[in-house]
Amino acid sequence: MEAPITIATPGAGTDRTAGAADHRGVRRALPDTITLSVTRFDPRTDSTPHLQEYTIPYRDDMVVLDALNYIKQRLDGTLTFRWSCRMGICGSCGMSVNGTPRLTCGTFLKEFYPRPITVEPLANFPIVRDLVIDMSDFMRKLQDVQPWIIRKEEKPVEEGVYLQSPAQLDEYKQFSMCINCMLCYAACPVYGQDNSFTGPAVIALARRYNLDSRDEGKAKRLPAITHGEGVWECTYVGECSVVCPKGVDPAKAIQQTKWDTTLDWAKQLIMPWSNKDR
Amino acid sequence: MAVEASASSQRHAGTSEHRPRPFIGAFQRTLPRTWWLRNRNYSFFALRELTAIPVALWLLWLLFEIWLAGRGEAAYLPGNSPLYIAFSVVCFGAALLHSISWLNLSGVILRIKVGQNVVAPRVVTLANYAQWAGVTVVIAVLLVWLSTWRS
Amino acid sequence: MNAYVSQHTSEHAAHKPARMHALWWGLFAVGGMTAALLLPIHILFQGILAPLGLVPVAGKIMGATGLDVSASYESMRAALANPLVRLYLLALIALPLYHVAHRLLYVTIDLRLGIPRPLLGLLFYGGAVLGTVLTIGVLATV
Repeated sequence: MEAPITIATPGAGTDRTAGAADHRGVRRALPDTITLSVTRFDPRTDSTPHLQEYTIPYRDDMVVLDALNYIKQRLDGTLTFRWSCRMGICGSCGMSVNGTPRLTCGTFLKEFYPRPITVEPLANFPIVRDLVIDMSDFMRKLQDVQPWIIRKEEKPVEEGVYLQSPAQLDEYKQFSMCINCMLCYAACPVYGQDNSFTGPAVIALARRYNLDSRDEGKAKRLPAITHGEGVWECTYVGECSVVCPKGVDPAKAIQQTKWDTTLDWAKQLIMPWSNKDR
Repeated sequence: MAVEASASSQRHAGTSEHRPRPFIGAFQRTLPRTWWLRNRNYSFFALRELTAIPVALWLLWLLFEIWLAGRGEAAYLPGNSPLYIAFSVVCFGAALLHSISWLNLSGVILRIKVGQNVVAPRVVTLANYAQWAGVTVVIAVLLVWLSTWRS
Repeated sequence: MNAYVSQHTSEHAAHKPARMHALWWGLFAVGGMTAALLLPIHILFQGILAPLGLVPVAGKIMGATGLDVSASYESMRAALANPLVRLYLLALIALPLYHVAHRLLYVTIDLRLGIPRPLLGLLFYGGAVLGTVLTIGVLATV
C-alpha cells in the first residue's frame, strides 16, 4: 500500500473547522479526521487494483461523496469517480462502502466515524479505473426490454393525451421509481456469479411498462426477460430490494413476473384459443 | 414529426451503432465462493435454501414407513427411537423455517385485488398464516382420528 | 462467466421463451406451498409427539412398553385403505420433491463445482420425477 496522504493545512477556512470560535466564543478542538481506504486502478499501468489511504478532516454533515471530492480537489487529483446530482436522484454515485452497495451522496461519514471507511467500485462490474465501473452490460440489457410505451398504432398528437386513473398509476408506480443506480446488481449474487442474468432493475423496469395501462407492448417485451437467463435465474435472495435507495422492490417484480408468466403459459397450454395479445 | 421519431428510435435502438460497447482492459472481478458469509441476509438465504434437505429426508422416511406397512405386521417398524425423534426435531426446525420464510415472502408477492383495491401485503401474509393455522388443526385432528381406525 | 459473451445473444428478437423453466418453477412453487402448510404438523405429530407417546396418530401408537405394533399397523392399514388418504399422501410427498430439487439445483450451481447445467438439471429434476414414480408405486401397491 502507498503512503497515506494526510491533510495539508489543518484548521483552515470556515467556522466549522478547528481553531475558530463559534458565536458563543467556544473554541473547537483540533479537527476531527477520518481515514478512507479507496480503490485505485489505472488500466494503463496497473495489473490489479489496490487500496490507497487518505485522511481527511471530518464534519458530521459530510457524506462519502464529499470526502471523495475533498480528496480529488485537495489531496489527489487523479482519483476518478462518477457523480452528478449529489442528492440521490441521478443514480451515478453508486459504490461499495464497507462492502455494501450505497449511493455515496446519501451515505454519511458519521455512520462509520471514527472507524475507517473502505470505498470500492460497485461490486459485480468490471473496473474501468479507480471507482468507475463498466456499465455497458447494464445499458445493453436496458435496451433489450424496450423501456418505453409501445403502441400497436401510435396515437396522433391531435387526438390528445392518454388518460390514466390513480388506480392505474398505482399498478406500476413503485417500479417506475428506479434511478438506474445499479446497486441492485451489485447486491445480487446471481448476477455476481453469472453476468448473463438479466438482473433486478431491468426486470422491474420491464414489469413497470407491462403494467402501464397505456402500453400495448407486453408480448414484445416479455421475451427479453422470460428467456433462460431472465427471471428464472433469480433465487429470491432479496438483497436487491434491501439495497435499493428508492424502494422499488425489484425482487417483488421478479417473483410476480415468474408467477404471471407461469400462469399465462399454463393458460396458453390448456386454452390455446384464448388469445390475449396484451 | 413526433410519431415518426419514436417509430424510428424503436427501429434503431437495438442496432450496433447504438449498442454500448464494453471497455477493453477493464479489470474483471469474480464473486468469492464465500459470498454467502458476507452479511446476515446472505447467510439467512443459504440457511433457508438448505432447509430443503431435512424436508426431503423426512418425507422419504415417511414413504419408507408407508412401504413397510405393505410388508406385513411383522415387518412394520415405524420410527420411534430417540434417534428418530432427534432427527424429527431437526426436520421440524427446518420445516418451520421454511414455512415462516415462505409465508412471509408469498405475502409480499401475491397481488390480490378486491374490486379496485389491492390487498395490503401484511393482510395477505396474515391470511396465509390463518390458512396455515386452519390446515394444521384439520390435519392434526385427522391424524389422531385415523389412529382409531382399525382394518 | 464473461458479460461480453452474451453481447450477441442479447439482441432484440433472439430469445426463446423458457417454458421448461416455468414448469419447474411452477412445480417448485406448488411444492413449496404444500410443504409450508402441511409439513410442520406432520413432523410434529408423527415425528415427535407420537413417538413420545403424547399423542396417538395413524401408524404410530405407543403403548405401555413402547410401540403398540398391532394397533399402529392396523390403523395404518385402515388409513391407507382409503383412496383419499393415498391421494393426499401422494401430494404431501411428491410435490415437495420438486421444491427440494429446484432449490438444491440452484445451491449446487452456486457452489460452482464445474458440473454442466443440463447434467445438474437431469440429476435433480430427474430425481424428483423418480421420487414421484416411486411414491406412486408404493402408494398404489401398499
